[in-house]
Amino acid sequence: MCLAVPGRVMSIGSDIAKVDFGGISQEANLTLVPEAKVGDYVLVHAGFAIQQLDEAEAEETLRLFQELAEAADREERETRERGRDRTGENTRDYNVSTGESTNEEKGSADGEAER
Amino acid sequence: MTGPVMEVELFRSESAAGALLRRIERLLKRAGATADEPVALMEVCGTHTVAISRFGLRSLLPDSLRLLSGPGCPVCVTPLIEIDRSIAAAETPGTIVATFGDMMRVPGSRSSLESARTDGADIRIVYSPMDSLQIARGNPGHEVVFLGVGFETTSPTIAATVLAAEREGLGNFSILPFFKTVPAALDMLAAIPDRPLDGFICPGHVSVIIGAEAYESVARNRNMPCVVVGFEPLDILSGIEALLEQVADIRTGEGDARVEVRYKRAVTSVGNVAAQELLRKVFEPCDAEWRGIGVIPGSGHDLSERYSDFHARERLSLDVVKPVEQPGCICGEIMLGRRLPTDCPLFGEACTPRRPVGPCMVSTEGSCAAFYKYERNAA
Ligand code: SF4
Repeated sequence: MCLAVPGRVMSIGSDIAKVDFGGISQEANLTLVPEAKVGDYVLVHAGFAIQQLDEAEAEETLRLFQELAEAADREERETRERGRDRTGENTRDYNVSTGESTNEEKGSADGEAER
Repeated sequence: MTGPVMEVELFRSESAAGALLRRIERLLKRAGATADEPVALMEVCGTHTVAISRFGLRSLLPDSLRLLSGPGCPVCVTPLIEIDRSIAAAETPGTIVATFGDMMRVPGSRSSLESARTDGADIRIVYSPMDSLQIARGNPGHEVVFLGVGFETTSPTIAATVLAAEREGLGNFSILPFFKTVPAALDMLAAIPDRPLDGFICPGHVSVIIGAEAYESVARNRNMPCVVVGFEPLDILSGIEALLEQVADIRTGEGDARVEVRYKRAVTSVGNVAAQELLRKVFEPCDAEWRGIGVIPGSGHDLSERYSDFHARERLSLDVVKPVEQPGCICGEIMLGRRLPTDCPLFGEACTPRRPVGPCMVSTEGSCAAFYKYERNAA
């Protein structure tokens, strides 16, 4: 029931906005996000925008995921190179298990803890 | 910045998932978890229930981790008597019931809203509670009753609707409030002594409204890790990783439970203050009955005194006989984290989404329904 969908505010008229959801446009009530502006991403639930999404935070999270992915790919390449002559195993799998890895002991995927 | 950074595909990278899964494995080892004594984490949001099942995350995770499905579906935890009351409202001549679609198929003790509609009751499914004001305007001779079901994600939209009705002087609009609030339920769940629970996957969109700090007291007083989590696979794995870091720290004496946010693009510490103000204005906290669980003190929202005129019971007589739950259902045990849907002898046999016996099967977001749809064969 708590499903909420991200969309982009295209225009605002009184307290109703036109919001674009990947090409489909729908109206959303802005009473709960009085500060929303055209161009903002908002989360829409039951016809109401309930939050402005923070693009800088989204990018930061994606950057950390990207780093994780790159480290995983590097690791996979190394594994494949090490094992190239021995096995033909498919290492591109969720359960890929290898020894050492880089960039994994420190930090977290979404920034530091809330204080 | 104008890039499409909210695209869901970006939060579904397989390599990043693989990396997170390896970190999760290592943290489980550090926490000393085994298949016999797994770390147990609970989500309390139907959208998480469905996402975890749909993306098959349980089958990817080691068996030293158990994901429990708490009472996260507001439709499922709506008491049977309230379903009967909603049907009674719909059957009252001169009344139109407006509701989110999720409520339609929930069986009451005699019928459902869907079958009441087939029998001639005027029941309309709306996408937004505001749509019910349109119905009220168009039907001045009728009482329009909106079924107020939901957690804190939804209740502000209904508070805003009540205020709009008041501003407009709409005299034929009322609601039946069955709202539930999450923090008091988490506190109750954390305090249950006879089953292991190591942390909460806190509901992302409830937290948008109430803010991460609403979980501080559960984290601190119950030493229960609380991490606010989004709904894409990487969001969920990242949230599990954060919880396991805390669990490992606690078990090795290196730290205490705390509140963390892994859904920072949507959730702040303080939450949506404008929405909270509306909630405080229109509603007041009350004790609430959660179907399958019982009464949890301070876990509901009723209309405040000032807005009590908007309660449908002020306008209609909705006396119904207290119904009896069907025997054999172990939903309560499942929602409290003691059992899994597959432990229920009725699961998939006598109880299916088409013919639900208990509350966890009535809505697509119930834990039994999600298990039935996505994990029946894997289980
Ligand atoms: S399968 Fe049906 S009867 Fe069994 S616990 Fe789930 S809802 Fe209740």
